[in-house]
Amino acid sequence: MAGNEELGNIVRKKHFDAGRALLICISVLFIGSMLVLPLGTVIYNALRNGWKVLFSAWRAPYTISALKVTLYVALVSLCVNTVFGIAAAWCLTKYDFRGKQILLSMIDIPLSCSPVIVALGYIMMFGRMGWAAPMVDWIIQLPYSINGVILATIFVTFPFVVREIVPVLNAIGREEETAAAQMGAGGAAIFLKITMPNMKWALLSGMSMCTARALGEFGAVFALARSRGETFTLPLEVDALYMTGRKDSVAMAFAAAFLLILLDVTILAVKNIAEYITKKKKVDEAFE
Amino acid sequence: MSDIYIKMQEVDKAFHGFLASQNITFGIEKGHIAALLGPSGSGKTTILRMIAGLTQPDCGQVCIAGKCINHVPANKRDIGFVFQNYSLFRHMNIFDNVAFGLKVKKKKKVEINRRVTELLELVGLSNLRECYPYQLSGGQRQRVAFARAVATNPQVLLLDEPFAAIDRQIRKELRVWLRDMIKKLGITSIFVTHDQEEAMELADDIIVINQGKIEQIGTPFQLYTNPKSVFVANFIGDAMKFEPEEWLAGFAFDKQVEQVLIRTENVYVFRMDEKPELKYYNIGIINSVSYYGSYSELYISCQGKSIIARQAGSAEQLCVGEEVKVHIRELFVCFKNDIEKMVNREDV
Ligand SMILES: Nc1ncnc2c1ncn2[C@@H]1O[C@H](COP(=O)(O)OP(=O)(O)O)[C@@H](O)[C@H]1O
Ligand SMILES: [Mg+2]
Repeated sequence: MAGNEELGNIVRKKHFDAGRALLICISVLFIGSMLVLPLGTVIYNALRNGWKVLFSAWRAPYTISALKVTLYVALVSLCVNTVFGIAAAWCLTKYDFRGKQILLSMIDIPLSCSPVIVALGYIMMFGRMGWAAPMVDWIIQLPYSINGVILATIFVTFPFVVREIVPVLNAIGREEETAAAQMGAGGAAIFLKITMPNMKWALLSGMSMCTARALGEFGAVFALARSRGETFTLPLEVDALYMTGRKDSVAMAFAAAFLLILLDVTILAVKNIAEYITKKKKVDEAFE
Repeated sequence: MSDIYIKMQEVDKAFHGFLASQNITFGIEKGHIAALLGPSGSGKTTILRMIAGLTQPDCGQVCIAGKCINHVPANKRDIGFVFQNYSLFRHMNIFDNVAFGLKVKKKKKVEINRRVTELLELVGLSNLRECYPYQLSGGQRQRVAFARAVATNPQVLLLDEPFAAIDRQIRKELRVWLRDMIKKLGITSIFVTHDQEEAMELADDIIVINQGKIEQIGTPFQLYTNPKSVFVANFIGDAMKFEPEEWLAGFAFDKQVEQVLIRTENVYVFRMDEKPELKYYNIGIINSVSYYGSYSELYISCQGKSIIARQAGSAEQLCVGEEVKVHIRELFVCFKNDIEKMVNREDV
């Protein structure tokens, strides 16, 4: 913090005031035109016809179905990713094994690889003609079922929990856990009483990012969900409504989009609160 | 040597082929405080962790109270451990930190309360029971770590560099505190340190470690007056090193002597008009004087060498530039694998 202020002072002394103003202007303009204006437009369009229209659009069967599917998919992928995310982060921080670095970089694949490609991969594997289909047919029944949508979403959102908690676990180290074990605590007690309290805010932050992404995912889901009213999530429903081009449908698309925005804002709030608390803790600890 | 409580017998430990401990054998009497003294990376922590059961030895035996405990898991060994950076639980307050071991052992709530209160009183932190570790000073943290380690009444206490994280000024005070506390509780203790002064002050026995091997075991007095290796002579007490040349009056050295060690307390300095009967001395010039109150340190250049001597602070101070007689009363001569004390011809 002090560093930034100092830098600011030095820069100001050298008459860089104009540059500073220019940079701030550019940032505000960029964020405004790229983020705020489009979102504002959507919200404006959703609310323009009044609350009544908005509510009736929300009550449309397809929209309700899409909302249910979205929440269900997000919830399942959140649970799966939380469990596997903690397990993976644990492996990566507590144990030394061969191929650890490779595993660590593989976790980032979903962030760098187009979801559509992976969805196609799933179809080739588990789809009706897929080579792995006979093995898993009885549980997944992938082609165009809700399980496919869940699978795709899990894939896309896997990195978030891991990436949030790995640095925290690394920074905390193993010392407290060793101490607890030395005093006779078992594995479960160590996890619940030592590890969990130390990483809970980072975990919450990762979980909210995972949820936000799960709610909004389009590409991977698009390749695997084909039946409106059954496996369509809100983003797909918005797209479908908008693509019809009919005036009332477009209005409904904006209404559904607004719903999505509301969900995202809620999660963003949770994430920011978690981040604020994590940061505050760090500042407190820095006062040693 | 009747009542050996902690014993290590021919213990080896290697990490990926690197021998961190070789043939470690020692015994510590019940109620004693022992120091594991050695430079950083010499394998002190490894020995401590093997006693605690946090690291498994490759071979050899670890015994407590006459029983081999190699296969007893760490949490069943009845050992208290003060970790190097204390490893306090950062999200728990002081009370919960100290109570942790008791809670794990499923003690009754009333009993936990009583014991923790008693311990916090003992270490003088009763008023901080609601505080978190980050709100404490280094010294207070050490006390919490100590209270936490002895909460379950262990028979053995192990401390890894207990003073490393503490400011110099209060270190001395805490050392005395810690020794009194350990003696009061009567726990057989081993602490790790790289500071010879700390080891001398606190320990009944010192085990000097170098490169994974024990160099010497003994009381502080034995180690200081009778070092068995060049390493120990260098490590315990500050010694000045010289080539074995013939300039030192009153000494003659064999060809095999590789090095000569002189301790400051064996360097005697006299004014030129003092001690006319003195036969064996060198003449030196005082380069600088540092006055510390109870004593002053004289930096003397003598035959092109630099020698440090001490003078009582209350004596009439010698001045920079003054010519003096330098008389060495005794020194250590180092051979390839051996060390020997040698006394000035005049003082034999
Ligand atoms: N778990 C480990 N894995 C690999 N090497 C280790 C491990 N623990 C200690 N060592 C090595 O053993 C040597 C002695 O370490 P340590 O006992 O910590 O020394 P000290 O406590 O005297 O500073 C060091 O060289 C260290 O690198
Ligand atoms: Mg160490």
